Amino acid sequence: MIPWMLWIIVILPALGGIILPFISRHETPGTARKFTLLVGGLVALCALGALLALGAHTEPPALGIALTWLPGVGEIGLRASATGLYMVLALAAALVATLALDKGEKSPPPGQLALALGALAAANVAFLVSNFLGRYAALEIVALLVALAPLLALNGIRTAGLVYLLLRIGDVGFLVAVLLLRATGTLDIDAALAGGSALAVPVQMWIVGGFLLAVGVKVAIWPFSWWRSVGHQMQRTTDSWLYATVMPLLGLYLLYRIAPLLTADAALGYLMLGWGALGLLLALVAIGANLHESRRHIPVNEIVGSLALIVAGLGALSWVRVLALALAPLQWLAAWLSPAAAPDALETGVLERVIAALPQAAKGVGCALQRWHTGRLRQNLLWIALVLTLALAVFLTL
Amino acid sequence: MNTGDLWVVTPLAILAGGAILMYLVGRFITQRNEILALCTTLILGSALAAHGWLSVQTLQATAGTWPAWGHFAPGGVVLRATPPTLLMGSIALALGLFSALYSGRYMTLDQHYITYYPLLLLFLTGLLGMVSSADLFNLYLFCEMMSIAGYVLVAFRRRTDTAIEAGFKYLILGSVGTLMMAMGITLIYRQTGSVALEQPGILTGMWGRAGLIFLWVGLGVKSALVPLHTWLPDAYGNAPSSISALFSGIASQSAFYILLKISLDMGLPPYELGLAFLVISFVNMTLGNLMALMQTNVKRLLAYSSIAQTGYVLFGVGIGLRYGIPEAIQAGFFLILTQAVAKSLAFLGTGVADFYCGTSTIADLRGIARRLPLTAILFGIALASLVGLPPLVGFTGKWFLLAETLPAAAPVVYVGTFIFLINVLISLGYYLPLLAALFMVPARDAGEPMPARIPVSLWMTVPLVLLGLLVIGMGLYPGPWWTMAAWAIY
Repeated sequence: MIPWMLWIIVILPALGGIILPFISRHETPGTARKFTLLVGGLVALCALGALLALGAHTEPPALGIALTWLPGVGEIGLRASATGLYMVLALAAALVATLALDKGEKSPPPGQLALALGALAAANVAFLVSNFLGRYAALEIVALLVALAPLLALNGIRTAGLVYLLLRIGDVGFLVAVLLLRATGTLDIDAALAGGSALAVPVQMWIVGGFLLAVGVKVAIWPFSWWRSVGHQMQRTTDSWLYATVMPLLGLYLLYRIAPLLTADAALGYLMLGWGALGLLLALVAIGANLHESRRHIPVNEIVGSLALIVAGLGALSWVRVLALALAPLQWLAAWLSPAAAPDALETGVLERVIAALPQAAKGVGCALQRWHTGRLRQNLLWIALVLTLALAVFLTL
Repeated sequence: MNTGDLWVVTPLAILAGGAILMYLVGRFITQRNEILALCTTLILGSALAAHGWLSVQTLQATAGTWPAWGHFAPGGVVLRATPPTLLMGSIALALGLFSALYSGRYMTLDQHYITYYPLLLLFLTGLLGMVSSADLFNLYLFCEMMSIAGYVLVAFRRRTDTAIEAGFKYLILGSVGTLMMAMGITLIYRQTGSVALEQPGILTGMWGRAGLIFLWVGLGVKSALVPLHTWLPDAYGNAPSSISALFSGIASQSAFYILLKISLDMGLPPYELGLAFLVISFVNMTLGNLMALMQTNVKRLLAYSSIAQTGYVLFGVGIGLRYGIPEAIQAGFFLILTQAVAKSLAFLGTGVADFYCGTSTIADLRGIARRLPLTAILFGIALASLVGLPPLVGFTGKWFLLAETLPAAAPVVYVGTFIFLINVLISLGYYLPLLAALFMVPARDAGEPMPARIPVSLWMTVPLVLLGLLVIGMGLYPGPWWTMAAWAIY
């Protein structure tokens, strides 16, 4: 049953996007919107059904059809994973919710709805495909469709070109990472990530660096956040859905999937931490500086992405390093105030008790993060996270 | 005395005889363009079939016993069929077939098309002979044959000043190149007393080294290696689109193949040769892409992008030679295959728009999808492939290039990969506006109705559709074509 649902999740929106311009040619303008709602709803229902049916499977069942495309990359197929289906559900539900709640006088034109369905199909492939090369191909198609949206909405060739260029920079990072991962002998995602941990540390760092570039662009963290503002120039909810939901969810999911590689070197943890903190700071400054209320929600995605990077950075660093980083300013301050007495200053009174308690607290956080990475918390948090993600997706789109 | 396997010379004989035949048919029997195009297509089909049979024979033979024909005292064998020559010949004949078929409608409005088909066949005779030559003298003869036919084909639309200028420029620069080649052959003959291609001891003498330099310059002009490329944009931009498609697909690539073959046969160390190719590749890629960004004429844009694509090929071959990775060379030749298909499709698509709508600039192409939907879709597929969008053949070529060069794990490889990726991003700057322009709403005055759809002749549609299917098919199923590219590393 699950394989059938996976087929529907991928093929239905793709077919819908192709036939929509033809069937809406002689129908009323609302027909295209209803058709899109129907397709999106079916995809969401299939994703939910597959998620529930996945249940107690110890291993995610494969689709049963695997293609061999290029030599040395392994087979490319679809694999039903809880998180992947989850993302599909969030995406489809967000599309349905935003179209249903759209109170605009005119329905979106069929071309833009077809674009949205095409992006839904490609994004679903990206979430469910079992091979990095397949994911790259799907991400390229999504990037092209996202970049074409301003062309249809604003007739802006230059804007579309610049958006596509920026998105392509992220995909170049992804491609470089995938090419380096070939050294593991396969590009099957699970096998490559497992084998990637055994590669030389410098190679792992380049791989993660490439993936992080892709994440940063997709989630629109500074300095790659410009393309997101284009989405706010376009008035259609489908365009907002493309810019505010599809790309960020793809980026966040990528960050989640490459988690096994993030602990390759402490430098990566510091990089994510620093970049996330900088992005968060800039986003908060942007919110504060924007006097117009209507524009204050623009940096929300950047906040989400930055927080994700910070969490990933914390998870990648051991609690000892995080503690050392946090305590470093205190030590410098103590040494500056009293060079001779600096070591003693840390051992007296309230400060001593706080510092003594910190390792236990940090250890607890570190254990929780490790359990999150290995997935032992996944099942327990699944339903809570599902609701939160749905809410977030709808909120971001609206 | 002529000896050896006649199948080696059969495709050449068909083409050369066909050229004479087509001239006589056009002069004395019929002047209908469709019939001339059909006859030319049949001749090319026969040559391709003979070439196919030769390929089967050659691939079954072992390395030292490949079929050969002819004997020339100072040099040796006149023509030899080797897997690399078969690869280049196959591409040339296939593209020629598409061009001839396309010309059945495209050349109808040209006044002197009865000379077009013989020239096309002569050009292909020269090209096929050049890649099959086993000695320098015959290589020069066939190269000259190809060049002279090429000069006339570029200037074929002599009613326009730009075509005359382009043809004249190509004539001057091409003749300089050919003269350089002749000088080089003379100097080599002075040293060794032989015009054989394989003369590994040539670098020991001053005359041999000088001769090789002259050959490099001459073939560099033919290959359009920067800075000897200045004839190419004018030639491709002003030639009939069917000729531009043929030129961009195989002409300069064949000259590059000859340059590679001669360099290795004359004893140039692969390590140094690879470095030279790498340096040239970086310049070619970057200059080609930057110049393409500034173009408003579609064919000139595609011409400059051809210069950049030559750089990509050189990058793969250079890495393969320098670090001893045959698969990298194979990837370079696979790129020649992919470029032949995608670039030809792009040029032929431009030709359809020019023929039916008189459009030649990017601005003119805006909204062409309303009038020529199938052409726009196929042209869009070609551009998407050149951009490197998966799963089209352009992406597959770039994937193989990166996948086979990165394992060299050397600093110059990483730098080269970075330059390559930057250039791929730069190329978006001119491909994407062109792709977008095809499908935008056409500019029109208020109240003006949408332009009507234009039916395109089957003569032009069939080659476009076949090339489009190849772009998609080769991308989705690259295995046999990757194996074909391996012929280049025999």
